Amino acid sequence: MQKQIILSVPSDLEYLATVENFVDILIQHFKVKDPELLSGQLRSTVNEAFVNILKHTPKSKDQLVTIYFELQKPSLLIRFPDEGKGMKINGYYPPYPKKLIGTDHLILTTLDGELRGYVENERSLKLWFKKNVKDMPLDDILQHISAGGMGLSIIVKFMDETRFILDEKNRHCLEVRKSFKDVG
Amino acid sequence: MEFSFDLKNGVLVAKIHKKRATVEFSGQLKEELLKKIDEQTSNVVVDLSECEFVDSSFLGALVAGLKKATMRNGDLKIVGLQPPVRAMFELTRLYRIFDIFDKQEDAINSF
Repeated sequence: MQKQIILSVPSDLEYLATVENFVDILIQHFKVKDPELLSGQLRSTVNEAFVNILKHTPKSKDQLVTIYFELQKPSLLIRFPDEGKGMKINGYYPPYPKKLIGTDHLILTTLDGELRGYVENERSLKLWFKKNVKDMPLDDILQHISAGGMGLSIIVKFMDETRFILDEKNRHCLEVRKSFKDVG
Repeated sequence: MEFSFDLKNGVLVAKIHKKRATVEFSGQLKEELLKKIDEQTSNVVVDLSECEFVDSSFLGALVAGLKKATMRNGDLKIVGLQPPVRAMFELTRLYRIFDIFDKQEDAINSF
């Protein structure tokens, strides 16, 4: 069965903790073995996604940011629509041209690997993390490390699936799915 | 008060007083931390023992502090990681670039 819960909050960092706290209400619907672990992962995910929306597609504070939670047991799907143009790949914003379908792209580099994007179809870019086989030498890390992009890589690592999609209403969304293997 | 600075044995100790160390004050922390590294000392300890949650923006402020400190031949060390915060350091592999201690005193004495 599919159930949807919609959360709308003002486009203001003041509501960041509210968005984080909301996930603790949500996970009561999933009887998992380690609710604290799940709570931490979901809190981080909604924190990073909400901040990204405010940072990259700012609205005035009296406008709302809406987050859609779909309980599709045994998984939770969360969509964060924004008013941006979507992820640019090889010079193209979504919908992507057919020639890009099936291609894989470097999005950004982190301390321990690469965040990559696979064009699944015209409307979907699936994000995945390619871990470095070898750790970068410490001196190199200190020279090259930057905090940029850490938020998106945290989401990809915590969630089972992460996508930038153009949804059925032509909204650009970050879409994440968390599956629960131990649902009661 | 989200954070405070103290000078102990010539080491700058930044103590975070919030359970959530996030973008809500990471910009201000970064700005003040970098200024103090410039003006006081590049040997820094950040005490996170009161924190239960950190986000990428806050981690970014720590990384900026570490880069500044090492550029000036110092270091930035971390103290007091609670399990969820330690998990974030492991997830992002930041534990590789920071020296991490359980006790503030041990971190200060390590310089």
